[in-house]
Amino acid sequence: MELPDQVKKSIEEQKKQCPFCKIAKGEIQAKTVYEDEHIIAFLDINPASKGHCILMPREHYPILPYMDREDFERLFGIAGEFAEAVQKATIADKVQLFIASGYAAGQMSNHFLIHVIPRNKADGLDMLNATGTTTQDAESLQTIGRNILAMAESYFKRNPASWHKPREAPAQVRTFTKEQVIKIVENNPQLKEAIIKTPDAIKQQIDSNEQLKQLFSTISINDIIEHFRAEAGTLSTVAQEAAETDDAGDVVDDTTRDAPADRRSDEQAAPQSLEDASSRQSPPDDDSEEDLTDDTHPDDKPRSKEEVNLDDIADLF
Amino acid sequence: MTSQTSSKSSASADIAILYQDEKAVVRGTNHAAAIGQVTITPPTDTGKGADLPREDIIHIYTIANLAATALFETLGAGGTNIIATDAALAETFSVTVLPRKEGDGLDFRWPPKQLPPEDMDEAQKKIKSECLLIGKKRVVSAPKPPATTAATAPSVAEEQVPDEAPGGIQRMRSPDDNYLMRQLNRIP
Repeated sequence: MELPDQVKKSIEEQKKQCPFCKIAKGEIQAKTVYEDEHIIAFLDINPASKGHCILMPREHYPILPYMDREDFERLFGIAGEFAEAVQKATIADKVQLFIASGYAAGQMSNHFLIHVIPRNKADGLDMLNATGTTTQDAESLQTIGRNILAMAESYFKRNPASWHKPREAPAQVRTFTKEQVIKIVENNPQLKEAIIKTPDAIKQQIDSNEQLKQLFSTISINDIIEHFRAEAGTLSTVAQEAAETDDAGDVVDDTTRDAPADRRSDEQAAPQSLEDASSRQSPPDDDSEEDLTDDTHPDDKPRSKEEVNLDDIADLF
Repeated sequence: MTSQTSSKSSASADIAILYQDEKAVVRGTNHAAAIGQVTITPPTDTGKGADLPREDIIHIYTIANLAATALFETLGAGGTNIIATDAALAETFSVTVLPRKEGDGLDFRWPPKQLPPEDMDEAQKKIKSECLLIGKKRVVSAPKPPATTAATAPSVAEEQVPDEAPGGIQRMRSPDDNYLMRQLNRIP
């Protein structure tokens, strides 16, 4: 990578003060466990666990994107074998390789390095599992996927690989937000009833149907079930109270009357809602977008394949 | 880290496929620590990275590096964490990439241990012994075509703005905001 002179100068200044460069040159002692001409690994002096190592290139790179391609291949080319060596030596359950790239990610050293950390049960390092309760944003994921595809195709153009054939992206991830799914269900009374009364059966259907799996890939079906069960519980209570005090009619009539217009059981509303949702999820360069959004005259022109699939989403259940 | 954590295998929490080629699959992570978190795996289950051909494991980390850049471009991340789970007895090899922003509430710092010198010596001796096998049993990968020789291959970083890429890059940051320059100035 050809760096601007200003960057080169800045890196040269960093090198002079870098303790890891000094370790790489043997000017500072470390408990070395592996080294070759370009790579060195040694024990971390403040380990997270016994056997915690630092694996790094001898050359000074501030962050991963600066790394020369040759050193990138040398470093990551042995990463798997090095992890296995550490796992065997420490008899650990697994090994995790941890990279912090950038100040915001907690990078403390200006010499790019990899922490190689042996892990065992109850070792107090579960934060490295990087799991949590964050609900993914479907639109962001789609954009990330498209950007990775664009970058990868550019990468392959510059680095042709005999094993790689340029290809289209896998079927676009068509996911919905929780609010969109709720709207879809609201417009399909039978589906809504099934979710409330037989949630386990709905879960099984989702697990066994690829299209439904995709739909629920970024949201929790449990949240959806909980939403409608809570709503049903509330409505039942209200209806019961109304019946006790006012001799009201049946619950369904009451809820329909009280519900906002867009939540009424309108047979025509379902496809419109589905297409509304899909148009927000479609990629900007999707040729079918015009078809999907222009649903004011659905009979004037043939419906796209994608549109038909979307209309049939509720029928998948 | 403020998020609730669990010991659930990362592979089981990954669902939507965002990108796939012959040697790597990128999925969105459902039980994520951060919005935009993705996981990269080989297309088929592999217990250890060491069982993969060298070319394959390099490619997976290459895609992880591209994903990290994509997170910066897409979400305006200030940095990224790349966490690989490898050599596991019960989990398959995977690489997770998380976008990070200052003050995002995530904390991956571990409490440093002070091990007795004899423990450090013992660990060094054992790991050094195991490392003697590095490069000895690796599956030999296919030779590269001339255009991909290391001497001419550009850095992965050059891929961050693929002008000729289909569709280009959708950014949520200023085009003047240069990740490389910004990071260079921020790291102590």
